[in-house]
Amino acid sequence: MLHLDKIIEDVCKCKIIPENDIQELCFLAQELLIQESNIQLIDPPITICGDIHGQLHDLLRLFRIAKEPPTTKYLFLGDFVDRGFYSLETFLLLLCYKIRYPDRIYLIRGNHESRQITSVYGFYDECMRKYGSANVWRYCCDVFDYLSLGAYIMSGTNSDGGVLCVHGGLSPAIETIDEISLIDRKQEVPHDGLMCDLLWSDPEENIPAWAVSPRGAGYLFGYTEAERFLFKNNLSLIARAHQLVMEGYKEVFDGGLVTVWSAPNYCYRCGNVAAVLSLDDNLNRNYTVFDSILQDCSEIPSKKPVADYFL
Amino acid sequence: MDVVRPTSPRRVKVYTLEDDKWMDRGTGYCSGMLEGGPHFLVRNENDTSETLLKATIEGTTQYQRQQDTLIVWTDSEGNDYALSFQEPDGCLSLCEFLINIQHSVEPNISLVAVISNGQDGEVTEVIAGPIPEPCFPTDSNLGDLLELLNQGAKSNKFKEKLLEFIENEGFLTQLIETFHRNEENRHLVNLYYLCDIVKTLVFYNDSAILDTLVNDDTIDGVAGILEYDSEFPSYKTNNREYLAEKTSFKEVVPLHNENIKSLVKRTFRLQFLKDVVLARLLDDASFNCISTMIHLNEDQILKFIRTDPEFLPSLFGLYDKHDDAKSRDGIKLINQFTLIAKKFQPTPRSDFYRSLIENGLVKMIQFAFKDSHTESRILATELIVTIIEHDVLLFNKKNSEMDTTLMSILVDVLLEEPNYGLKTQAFEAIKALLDPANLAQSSMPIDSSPSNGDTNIEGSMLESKYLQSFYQNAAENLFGPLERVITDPACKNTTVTYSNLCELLNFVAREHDRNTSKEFILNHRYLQGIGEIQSKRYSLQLRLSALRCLKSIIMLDDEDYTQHLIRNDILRGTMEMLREVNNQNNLANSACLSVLHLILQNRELLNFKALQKYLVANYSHILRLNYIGRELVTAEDQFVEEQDALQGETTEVSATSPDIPDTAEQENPPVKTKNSRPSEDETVSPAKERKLNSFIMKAGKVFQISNYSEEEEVGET
Repeated sequence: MLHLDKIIEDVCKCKIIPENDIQELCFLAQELLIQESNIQLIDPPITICGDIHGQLHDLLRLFRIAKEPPTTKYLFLGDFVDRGFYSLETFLLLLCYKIRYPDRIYLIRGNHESRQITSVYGFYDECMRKYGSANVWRYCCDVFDYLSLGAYIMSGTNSDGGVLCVHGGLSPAIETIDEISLIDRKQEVPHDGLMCDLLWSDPEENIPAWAVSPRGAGYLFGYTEAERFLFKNNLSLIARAHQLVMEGYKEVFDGGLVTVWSAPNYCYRCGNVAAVLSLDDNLNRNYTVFDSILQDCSEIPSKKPVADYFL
Repeated sequence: MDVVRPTSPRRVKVYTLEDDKWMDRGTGYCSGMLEGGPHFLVRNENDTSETLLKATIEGTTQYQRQQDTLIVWTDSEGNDYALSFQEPDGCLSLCEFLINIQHSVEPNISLVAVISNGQDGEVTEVIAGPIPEPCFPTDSNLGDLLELLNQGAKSNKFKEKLLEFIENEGFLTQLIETFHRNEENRHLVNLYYLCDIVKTLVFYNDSAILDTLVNDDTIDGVAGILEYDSEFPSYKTNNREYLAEKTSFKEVVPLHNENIKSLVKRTFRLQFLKDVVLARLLDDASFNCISTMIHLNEDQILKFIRTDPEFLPSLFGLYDKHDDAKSRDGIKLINQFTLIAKKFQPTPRSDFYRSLIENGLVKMIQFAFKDSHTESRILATELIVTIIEHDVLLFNKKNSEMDTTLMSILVDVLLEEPNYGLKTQAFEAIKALLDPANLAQSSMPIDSSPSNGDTNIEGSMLESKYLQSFYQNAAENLFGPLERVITDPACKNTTVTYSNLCELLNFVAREHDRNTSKEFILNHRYLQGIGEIQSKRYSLQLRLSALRCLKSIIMLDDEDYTQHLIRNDILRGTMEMLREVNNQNNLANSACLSVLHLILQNRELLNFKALQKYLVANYSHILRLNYIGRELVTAEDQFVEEQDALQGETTEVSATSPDIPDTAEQENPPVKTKNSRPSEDETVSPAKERKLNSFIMKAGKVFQISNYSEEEEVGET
């Protein structure tokens, strides 16, 4: 049996979690996530968080500021891993909360929740360093495949339209949210197509419609496309993450789209602040901005040294 | 030595600052002169006898170059001057003059460039100036020393002098002594200075300096200094403790080369600095600098290991003795080197892996898979995967045949191993062995025939010979469980094993020569087994794996497979699952709908039409439960109506029943199809306009494919 409380406690202290426990956690998470739809329907009030990128201590600070689950209901917009030094702990903590309070915390997939990207940007190396083999990374990647692609937040009392939450943005492949339900999402993030775009696209204020993305995946979408999509799907807002915002959040397209970024002092050196977006029952927006301060943690965030070295 | 010459006259405007206002003092030609001491001389352009400015270059004046055309300074009496040149070239020539003066006559003057950097203001960059004497660290000068080192980074000449000083004069030893003294006295301010000094040295990105930092007699001091970071005053890392206690340089077999031994240690220390101590601080340039040093060291180490006549033989010799502890360490050692080699260019990588295999790697693998320690098995599989992903033929004794001992070890692991991670690794290894793309990339010589031969044909012969040995010797073992009754359907172990088998089966169906794999698959009851796995007794994860396998078989658009699915009613399980999840808004529902959507989208293709007919005939009650299914039913009904109408007109001609796809093919006119190949969830993208107008060959007939229309597809859903 898993002792979730003990695991949560150890994860917060950056202790090494036994491989078997991780495997067990990942399996339980799969069983939960398989029951979620591609675009998960969630009721407000909810607090929406952007990229975390393995900055465990900043995530802990986020939970201190915005209250721990289950007190607050959370939606994380993906990119839990890579870049920071505690990708594994960050993801495990979120999984533990997910398993413990499945209706109080929701996780959707970011472009970094992929085998290919994590092999390059740190998560794979981190697991190798901490465990000496890649199996922990494999278990986590299997969970990534089950993550929802987005969420739809609908207010019972507000008729102005709901909020669509995705990691990246829109796709030229679809006009309505319903079309997303025809994807069998359990797969590695493809290089193009609808599923890829949802995780990779960016809004761009200086263009009207679609343009090629400099990232090499997804698209840039402009004012008219965003406007059209909002209208057609009766949405008041598209909430997304995916791009560093120095001020923590940024609304564009007359408030029709917001980028939320929740990793303060990104990569431990960008000097930015972070934000979370809270939506109340009527989907009114309230942003909480916070910066990176080390509090009650037992060590300076750093990479773990390799376990053994041989001659 | 620099030779100073007077400059040619350059057109310039002279300004002086009066009451905070720059006053125009006239336009003329400026020269740098030497006679009677270095000075600037500006003569009026209208009257060369009139001197607009004569300014002596002396003392400790700092000259500023601003933008491309201005030289600005304050003389020793406090007067401000500015020379505004007509041409950047003129400004440059006078700046060079100043530099030469600084280097030869007036070392105390300096020249800095003032560069505006966007909204944040200005930065100054020293172009020439007096070079302060470097000094040794003492308890009282650390602040100045830090300032000096920071200055040094701004001028190349200064930097060179500093680097020379630091490397040759025992600077580091003194720095470390100062550190120990101050740590003993708990002089925190000095400790922070020392930490910043070492960080500054690292950012010089000088490999010689970095090399000195990781020497046997300096590393401990350097690691200690870096424990005191002013950025985190209330924390202290324990670098030294880690280096002293946690790192164990395990020597599995004795290494007789002291140089290599020391290189291994230095490399580890560099890695430790890069990944642990300095991880948050390094910018791209410093990161790359240290990485390059590590890479060069590793290159030497691996070369030694590969070519040393004693090392590898004595390492693999371990597996003839029975020392489990050493044998296990040997696996870790080899795994570590295998991962290092992964970063190398293909040729040296192949060379390294090949020498491992030639020296007896298989002995090690055999030990590992018999070992009770799971870690040994995990590492051994990891390294097999690493090697075959690089070159699938390296393990094979004869180039063109698959080494079935390795394959059968891996199949055993996949089917029997209780550790799921290991199972998945074995799956990856098997998939790599079976991937024809890996075969094509192999660096092993394919054949001895001359290079101008048709490599395509050689390649495909190689492929078929190689894969034949798989189908003859290993495939039935691998896929056998699919035909047997599964005793423990709901357990996790079953889920992991069978999900991997589903994936492998559709992989060989998709990637191998179609006829070979199809014959093998259809001669067994594998697809029936996979159909069975969709039933409720199994975990949802596994049921969906089975569904995906069948979907990918459907996507092959192959008549034999399609008929096989229909004849054996293999999609029954899919339909039951659809009914079960119909009202659930979840992944399983989406997965089921995606199969219906696939068939609906491609229903103009004969195989899909046959599937549509089969599903509607048998499962319309389930299909009608959701909107895609209803569309499928409607489409089939319409088709039948059209066929009936057509039949009415041509009853005399056609004696066969027109709605059986097999026979319909004989008489029906070429069917207009929408897509060239079955497509799934294709995206509409203005940037990638898909205009297909192609032909496909099918059952000896040619069908023309009309333009693929984006709008139609979106309209469907």
